[in-house]
Amino acid sequence: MLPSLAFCNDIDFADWSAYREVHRLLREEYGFQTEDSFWLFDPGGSEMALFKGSLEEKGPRHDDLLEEIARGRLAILHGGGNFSRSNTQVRPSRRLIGEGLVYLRERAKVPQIWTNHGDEGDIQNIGGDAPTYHQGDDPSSNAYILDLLLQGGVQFFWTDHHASDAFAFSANGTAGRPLLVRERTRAGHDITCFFRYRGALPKAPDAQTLSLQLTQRNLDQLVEAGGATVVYQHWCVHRDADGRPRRASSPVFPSESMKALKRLMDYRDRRIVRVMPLTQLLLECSATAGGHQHVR
Amino acid sequence: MPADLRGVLFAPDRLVPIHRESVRRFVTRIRQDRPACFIPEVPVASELGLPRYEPLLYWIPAHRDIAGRVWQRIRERLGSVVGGRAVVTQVPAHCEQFTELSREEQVHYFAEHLHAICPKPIQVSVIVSNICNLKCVMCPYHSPDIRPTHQTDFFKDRVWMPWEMMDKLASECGASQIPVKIGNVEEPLLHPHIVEFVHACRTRGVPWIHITTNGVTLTEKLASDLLEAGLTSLYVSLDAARPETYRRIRGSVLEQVESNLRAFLRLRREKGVSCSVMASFVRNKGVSEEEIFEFREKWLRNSDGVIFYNLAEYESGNSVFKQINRVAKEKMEKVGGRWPCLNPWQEIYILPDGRVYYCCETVSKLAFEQLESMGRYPEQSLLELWRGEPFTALRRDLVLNKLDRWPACQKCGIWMAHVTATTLEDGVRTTTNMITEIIQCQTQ
Repeated sequence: MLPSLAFCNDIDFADWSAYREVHRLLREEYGFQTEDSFWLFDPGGSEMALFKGSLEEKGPRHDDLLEEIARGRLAILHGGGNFSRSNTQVRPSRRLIGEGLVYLRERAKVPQIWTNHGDEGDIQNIGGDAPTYHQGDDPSSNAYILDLLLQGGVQFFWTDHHASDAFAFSANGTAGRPLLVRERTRAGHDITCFFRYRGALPKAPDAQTLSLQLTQRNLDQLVEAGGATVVYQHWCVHRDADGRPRRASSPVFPSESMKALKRLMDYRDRRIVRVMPLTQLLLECSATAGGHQHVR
Repeated sequence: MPADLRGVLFAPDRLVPIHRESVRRFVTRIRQDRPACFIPEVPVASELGLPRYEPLLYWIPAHRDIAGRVWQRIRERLGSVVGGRAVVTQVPAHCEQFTELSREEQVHYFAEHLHAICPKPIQVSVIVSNICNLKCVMCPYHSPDIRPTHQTDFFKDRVWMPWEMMDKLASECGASQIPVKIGNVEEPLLHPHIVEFVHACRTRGVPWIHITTNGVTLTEKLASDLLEAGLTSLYVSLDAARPETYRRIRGSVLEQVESNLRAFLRLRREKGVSCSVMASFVRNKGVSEEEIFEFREKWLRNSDGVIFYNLAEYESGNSVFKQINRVAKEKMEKVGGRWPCLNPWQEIYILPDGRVYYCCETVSKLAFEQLESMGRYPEQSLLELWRGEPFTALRRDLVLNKLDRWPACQKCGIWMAHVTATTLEDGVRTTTNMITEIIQCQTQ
């Protein structure tokens, strides 16, 4: 398999126009087909959530999001909802997220990828084999949802302990760091988790630090290793001088990040790296990994 | 006290006389329906870490639903009094807290009677020499570009702290269980008695001992000796991820120092000792964000964390930083200016020639200004120095913001640097103030 790269973006701080602008740029300027994530619920009314606090309250861009989900462009469930400690009007529950998954199945489709989101307030997050505050895979919790996610068709999970400073992974798990690992949850399910390249950044990666992730050194490593990588991003986020995140203003990607995207485009055009949607990459890796995946 | 109030006003013995004004204010504010207590505080400074008092006054109203319950809680608290001092800092629930003080009362509690809550320094910084084996471009003490601007002779001749002074420091810090920090204007590993000093400190009771070093002479033998002597913390100043940057800034060979640091980390693992190890980086001019990122990649997960120092500009020995962080600015706006810097309530600096200073800013002036020494060591003991007139006067003047006697404080640009902000993202904890950014992984 040719060395391959996919982006995995967390939709935090995005609004509809920022989301549209990023994907227009990636598609039209660089020719990258990428997916993105969304929330089922955001009590605060984010444009990137289907609903506010319940199925009775549609989010401001509900219809647009539903279409994007149906077309597979929004293909990552980002924590099921935005229930962080600072957003406490509605708490996550099995009933609420279960209703959301049924809705998705009936009106669009359930994504195959789940990424944890937020902080200790997001108790619906999945803990895998290293749970701390996570209750999404704890059958004794009111926020237990793992069985619903698996029944709904989620196949790949990113949990908090799968952020990596290493860029290149083994796509099939035969040599080096595997991109996919199997983990046993408290519910007894074995789930497939994937790593994301974060890099040694003090704060979570964003549009302004993309250039530090897509360095020539990293891309060369990927080519040399012949593997795969998933680049973790928050591309609708900029930070102020004190490091506080806020919605990205225009231009979303500063010049250094644009140069980095051009660098990636060059590797793609020279056919030494493939850039593909995350779902496709994970499915390919999963198919080639076969019995090599292991339970941690 | 208002005549219609019924209850008990209780003043436990906290080894400090209660200021008349405090009592007057307290009794005018208490109410019949609510218990209350009085805890002296200095705005912002107390919040940032000024030593804290236990409640000095309690008001327990004569109310059948309140009195018994509150007395019970207070008795529980006082039950833990050790050696005449209550050691529990909690306040009974539902007890209204009054903390306001006039400047005069602040002086009373936090300068004149500080010994009641803080009888010894929280840390002693020991400067073991004035010598360094590198000439880093940004160093105000040893840079060939800056040395010609020195106004004092402090760095002219080599001065080593004599062993007798170190021996006494180890005994005093050990007996009082005071943490020790080494490495400021000097390269401490050059001192011939450094291992002996660490060992003496630890065997005599020092709970924590730290060294900041450039790591050039940190051979495997020295690393092994320091770990076995009981070193508990080490910062290695690297300032580069690339050899050419290191050569430009520090004038030496990066690979050698990195190899020394890796060997130290390996020996720590092999010996199974707990010594925190961090790599540090000064954000010098001309260093790219890419290199800073490479530095984090190298050391964030391979040591116990990384420290970045914002580059200070030195104007006649005054450290000047470009940015004051947001939280500090907000606090300055809230109190309308300056609060007392915490250093003289926390730390004491012993120089190799026996002079005594009180903060990093005073030390940074060593090459530029003759400042008043806070006493003489070892002629005076550490506790005598801590409780002596100069320190008491300094604390008083800081509370009153009358700094005529203290030129280092007058011109100080970092008095607000104790304000920190912490974030936790993806298991990476970042703590920043206007001088440093400390980044650590929660799970290694």
